[in-house]
Amino acid sequence: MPRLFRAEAHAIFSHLELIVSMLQPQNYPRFLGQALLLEPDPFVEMVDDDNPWLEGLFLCVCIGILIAVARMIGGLLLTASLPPSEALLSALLQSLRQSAANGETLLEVERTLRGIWPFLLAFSGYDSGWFRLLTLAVTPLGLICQWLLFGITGHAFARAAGGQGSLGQTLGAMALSNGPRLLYILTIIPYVSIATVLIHVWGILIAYRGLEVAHELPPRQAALAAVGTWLLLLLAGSLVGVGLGALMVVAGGGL
Amino acid sequence: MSLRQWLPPPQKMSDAIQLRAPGFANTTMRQSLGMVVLLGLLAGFLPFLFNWGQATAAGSALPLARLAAVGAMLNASLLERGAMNQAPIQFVSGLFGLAQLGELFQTIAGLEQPFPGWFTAFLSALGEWINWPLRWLSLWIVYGALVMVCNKALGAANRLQPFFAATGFAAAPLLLSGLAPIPCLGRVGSVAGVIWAVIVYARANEEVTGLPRSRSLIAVFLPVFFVLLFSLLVTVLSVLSALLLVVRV
Repeated sequence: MPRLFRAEAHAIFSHLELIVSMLQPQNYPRFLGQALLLEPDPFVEMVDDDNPWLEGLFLCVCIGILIAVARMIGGLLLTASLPPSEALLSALLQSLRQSAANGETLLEVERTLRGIWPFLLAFSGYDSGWFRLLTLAVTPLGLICQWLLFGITGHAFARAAGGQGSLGQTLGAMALSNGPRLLYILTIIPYVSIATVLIHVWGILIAYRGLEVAHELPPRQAALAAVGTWLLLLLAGSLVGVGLGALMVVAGGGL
Repeated sequence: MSLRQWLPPPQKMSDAIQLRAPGFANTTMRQSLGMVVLLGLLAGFLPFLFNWGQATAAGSALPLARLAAVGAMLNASLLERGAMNQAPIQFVSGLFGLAQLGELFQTIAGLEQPFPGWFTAFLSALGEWINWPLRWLSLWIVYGALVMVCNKALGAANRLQPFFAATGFAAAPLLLSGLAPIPCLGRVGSVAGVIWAVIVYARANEEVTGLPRSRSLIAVFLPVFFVLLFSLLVTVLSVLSALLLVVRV
């Protein structure tokens, strides 16, 4: 039994070793740089790769880890450059108590403020404590989920537009559309803010080039597929957001 | 990788800001990207020094220093009204009065932070400085994508890369907006820089698309109307949803 187990483990490790040896992380900076400049070469190389989806997955993990680490350090620096959150909250509450609003309203406002305060801290990265460590895991996972959703939907659109590429090739090419997210590394410096619209629009432009190359689509069809994919996901995301919000209101009986 | 690959020759920049056609040809998107980032950093340098000084004087991060300045301004305006025997402005909301708000802002700005004041001031001013090229990059890519859609709709046949390469030159006159902290001259410089940049952008678009001037201008300005329309729609929707929420609560 142990011998059988050892043989299986050896086979798995050999397989993993083979997969890892296929990856070309040394090319990622060049791929991303060229993709950001909308050059076709990285998409061609990605599409011709043995395992484009695996390459895309590893690329997303690398980008996700880099962003997560940058955000964590940026959050620590931000926290150290601002007053402690407790002091800030008590200053706010003290000022509230001195206001002319009646007792019931004050109590309600104070309760709401205390309720949303941890969420504000968690999402701003300011004094977010252990939540920072959670972002280390959540950021790469979130990026992988987004990439899969964007890639699979984009593949469906491209196929509908007459594209010939495989799903693996689409996923490989679409992974490069995460290139603009590298700008988030700059958030290692506190108070740097990256416009979300820049990340999305630049990502769509790169995805357009990726679909054009991976599926050998004419420019117009590729553009429609890229924009259509983004719009569909935006719509789906908005619906999910509104649904969750409505659920919270209904479940909580108000805000 | 040499600097030449990341920046267009100075002669090209000079030609472009003088609206000469050769300025917009034979430039790569890489060079334009480098130019936008470098000029953004250059434009933001003087404001960076100004911001650092302002925040160091307050001994806090830049946003808090600004908050303190607003607080002081509110208190000063209230004192002024009192001296002129005018009725004090009543509550800005059901919760805070103007005087209270001013006091709160100053209290928050006066709270101690773990880092020394000068370092906090430096970090926040540095972040604000890096935001300069990032804002220009956003404008260049996002607005460019919208203009490109209009170009295509109006019959242009050019590709994305030459378009972005040519329109990046609009960043050169924007350098004047970096003079903003200088009293009087700064505002004039900023306005002149923006107008000049719009003209260079329109010229670049005309040159790279080959569209007639009127169509090229429509393509350049149409996204402004789209953006305004979209903002209006979002505002109306936000107001409506807030009203619905209030009615429900």
